[in-house]
Order: sequence, then C-alpha cells, then structure tokens
Amino acid sequence: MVSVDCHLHLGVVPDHIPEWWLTEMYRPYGGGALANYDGQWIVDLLDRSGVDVGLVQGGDMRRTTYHPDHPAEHDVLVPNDYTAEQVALFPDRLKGVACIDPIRDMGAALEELDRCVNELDFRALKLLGSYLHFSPNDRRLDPIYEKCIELGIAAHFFTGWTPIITAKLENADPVQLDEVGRRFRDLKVIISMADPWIDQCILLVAKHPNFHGDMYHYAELGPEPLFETLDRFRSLSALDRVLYGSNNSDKVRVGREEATVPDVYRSVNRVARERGAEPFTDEEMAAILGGNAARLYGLRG
Amino acid sequence: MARIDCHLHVTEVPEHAPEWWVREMYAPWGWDVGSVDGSDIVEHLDATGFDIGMIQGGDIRRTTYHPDHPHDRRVFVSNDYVAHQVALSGGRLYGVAAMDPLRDIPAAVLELERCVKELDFRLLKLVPTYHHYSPKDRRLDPLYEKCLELDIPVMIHTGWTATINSAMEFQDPIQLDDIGRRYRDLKVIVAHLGYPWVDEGVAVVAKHPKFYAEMAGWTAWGPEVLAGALVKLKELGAIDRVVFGSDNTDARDLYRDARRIAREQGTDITDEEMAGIMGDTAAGLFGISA
Repeated sequence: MVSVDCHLHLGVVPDHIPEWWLTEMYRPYGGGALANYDGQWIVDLLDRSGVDVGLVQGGDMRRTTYHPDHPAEHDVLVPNDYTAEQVALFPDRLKGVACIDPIRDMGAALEELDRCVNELDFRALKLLGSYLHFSPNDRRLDPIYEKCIELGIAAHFFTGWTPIITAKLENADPVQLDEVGRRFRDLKVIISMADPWIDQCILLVAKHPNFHGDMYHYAELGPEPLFETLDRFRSLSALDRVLYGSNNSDKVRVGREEATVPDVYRSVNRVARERGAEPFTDEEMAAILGGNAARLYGLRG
Repeated sequence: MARIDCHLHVTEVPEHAPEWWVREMYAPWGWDVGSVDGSDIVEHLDATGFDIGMIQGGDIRRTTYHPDHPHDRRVFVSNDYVAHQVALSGGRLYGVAAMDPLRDIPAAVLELERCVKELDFRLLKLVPTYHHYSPKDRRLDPLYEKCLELDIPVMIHTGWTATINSAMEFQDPIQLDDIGRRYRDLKVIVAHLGYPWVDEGVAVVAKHPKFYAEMAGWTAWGPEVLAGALVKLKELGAIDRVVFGSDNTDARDLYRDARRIAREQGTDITDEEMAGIMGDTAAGLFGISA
C-alpha cells in the first residue's frame, strides 16, 4: 500500500518568505531550520522517511503578515504556480495542495481553486483561518466550501497554536469547524490537529463522518502520545480517517531521536504491549500511513 | 442512605425518536440501543446496585435534522410519559422536567411549574448544545428564576455528543460561569462535566458553591479521566459536590478503577466521600429521604 505524507510545506527564503518570519516561527523550538524547502528537499525527506508520496502546499499570507521591525517585509507568498513547478519535477512523488487567501478576493480565489484542480491537478485546498484572520464558520467562506464539494476535493484547515505573533488564536480553535460540518455534510475536511485543542479535534472527527485528522503534531513527539491518540480514534471508530503528516519534520533533522517519523508510528505497538492494550493491525497502520490518504486524494494505492 | 443515579434517559423507538437519530448518537461505539422504558431503568438500577433513578425525557424537535431523513425529526419524550413511568415504578423513579425553552418561554415556565407542583418532578434538564443556545443566553432567565422560586436544581448538558446537529460551540462549561455569578442561589448540576472541557468543568464547579459535578457517560472516556477529575475536585474542596449519573451505562468498574488510580496517585477518595457521590449528596439536592 502507498505511504503518504499529507502535510508538507514549500518555501524559499527570502524569495517567498522573509527571514524574520521563519525565525519567529521556529523561535520556541530554539531557532534554526531556515532551510529552503523546494521539491528536491521534500523528496529527500520522503526518501529518508521511506514515504512514497507527499502533498505539498505553498501559501499566501501577504494581507496579514506584519512585524514592527520589518514593516516593508510582509510578502509571505509561495504561489500555487511554484508548487505546480516543483510537483512537475517529481510527478510520481509530489501532489499539490492549493493555497488561497479567500478574504483578499473571493471571486479570484474561486477561479484560482478551479484552475489548481482542473489545470494543475492539485488534490486538496488548504485554509489558514488563524493566519488570515477569519473563522472557518464565517459565511463568506461558503462559496469556497461549495466549490470544494463540486470539485470533489478535501479542504485542509490549519487549527491550533502557532508562534506567529500576528496569527489570531481566537480563529485557531477547531470547534469553529463544527458548524461547517453541520452545514456542509458532504465536505471532506482535514483538521490539522494541534495543542491546545487535541481532544476537540479527535471528537470533531468522531462526530462528522467526512472529517479527517492530520497527525502532523505527533511528528515531533514520541510513540506514547501517538499511541494514546490513535487508541482514542480507534475507540471512537474513526481510525479509518486518520492521516499521516510530518510538517517537514523527521526525527533525525530535529535531532531528538535517531528515528524517522514513520519509525515512531511503527513503535506504537511496543507501547500497546507495555500497556496490555490491543495492538494495531498491519492493515490499520498501513491505512494510517497512506491508505486513508490515497482514498481521500485519489492516489493509486 | 439511598444510592441515587441522577442521569437516566427513557425513550421508546420509534415512538419518541427516529431510529436514525439513536444510531447516530451511538455511532462511534457501534452500540445498538433500542427502546428504554421505566421498567428497563428499574432493571438497570437493580443490576448496578442503585435504589433510586432520576429519569428524563426531552423535546429536541426544533433542531433535529438529517439530510437523508428530512421529515423524520420528531425527537420528543414528553414529561407526561416520564410521569407515567415514574408512577409505575413503585417509588424507584423520580421525574426530571425537560422542555425546549426557545420554542415558547412562557409555556416552558408554565410546564416547569406543572412538572414540579403537579407531577412531583425534582429538577429541570436543559440541553443547550442540542437546542443551539448558550446557557448564559438571557432569554433563559425566566426559567432560572422559576427554578429558584420552586427550589429545584437545573441540570445542564455540557460537553460532547455524537449527534451531528448538536452545536459544539455551546458545550464548553465556561459558559455556565455567567449564570453562577448572576444567580448565586441557583443549584446547577454540570452534566457530563464538560468532557473534553473537563478542566473548565472542574473550574466552574470549584468556583461556585452551588454548582455540582456529574460525569454521566464517562464509561466511554475511561477511569484515568475520571480519576483526574475527582482528584482535582478534591484538591479544590468540591468533592462533596459530586453526584453520580450513569447515562444508562454500567459505571461500577469505572468508579472502582478511578478510585484505585487516584489512590495510586496519592489521593484517597474516602468511603464517606464515595457515599456522598453515590447518593447522599443527591438525596439532599433532590429532597429524597433515605
């Protein structure tokens, strides 16, 4: 079965991102990591991790990016065309995720989403409520959700904490997605699970049959918290909607453990044995590491 | 002293609720839950070692909806049905009044008065997440004032439910703090203690002297979660304001294991405190003699 990383970022400093912005992003983690994330970097990461396919995303945060010490440097823009160009270099390894700022120009955002899917073969949309200062249940977003349903693609939502200072935490609470789930029951939603609302993310996925959990948060953690969250998804019959994501991380790069992120997933059954819990089957693990994503993004299994 | 289960539901399917609604409610666990009447509840009390059960119906017609069943949305267990089940129970059951306040506030106030004065019901149940309002919505004030006048507690659903049309934005028990500040004499039972907002549930109970914690349905979340809440409630001086509710599940192992885990962590939930949780506190709250 194909393995899939659903959460990977492209971006080159300073062409796409000011250096101060990435420094602010990594400040709580001790700085560093100012790498230039192009398609080759991502494929190298996939190779080190033994993952077949990566979903890569850019981003457009020009409207809301600001730092008082760098007032003129606010162009955080990794265009969809750059994403498409990198995907074209590795067509069997990378698939694109469309990124738009819907509040900037809704009509243009709809046209861009249509172009990304129908012309560039992108497989999903990414929305960044906290970075772009909107709530996911803002009715202005309705045309975007209707377009996703029409195109048959999933919408990724960033939720949870980020160190970026101008991001709005009040728009980061995933509970705001509940209304989206009630009103658009056929919309496929992927929640980027993160602190401090992990429990709410799990229960949102358990409640809405078309919601999925992106486990990128666990890329930096050990097998114990990963086991606990997977076990909770299993207890709520939602394990078939869990997706592996790394957020450009592997354990070697962050230097915390001599293991790749998929290795950590393969360690959860050791935790299960230690706790006297039921192990996850090979089929369940293969689905988490790629089968569920292959179904969602229309990838060959 | 009587052992009291203060959180029990009676529902006959499909007379009171469509099958799809009951299936959706229990979908994450794959449970096949059919009709439950008063005699089933008495059997449940016998099996789980409780003397008295507080049973509730509900009226969720206004906000129940499924796109595949657009006309099949009548979730309504009337207070008169509850009263009938109570009357058949030989003193084992007491009624809990349930209504949809936003359908008609004056009618809800009159119905509450009828339930208490004529049917001898002992508390009011509100379900904000199912009914799409915040518990601190000022439109609810006449009901809270009526509870004070009738000297009954109000049990308010907080926390998660699998029912898709419920609104998660009204599940956080922090929304009860406003009620506690404005109605200091109102006795409030924080049903389900807000799971997964458990810290927030503990916070409002510990803060307001007339708030009570109740963890119905926590068999789904496990003894570690219950142990954590009980330890925090004890540390904050609120362990004497915990009442037992089962949500129709067998929670004996849950409480036994939670007590063991708390002890392993250095906190002893004493026999006297357990007796309070299992009935003594509820008996005083609902005016039930031993």
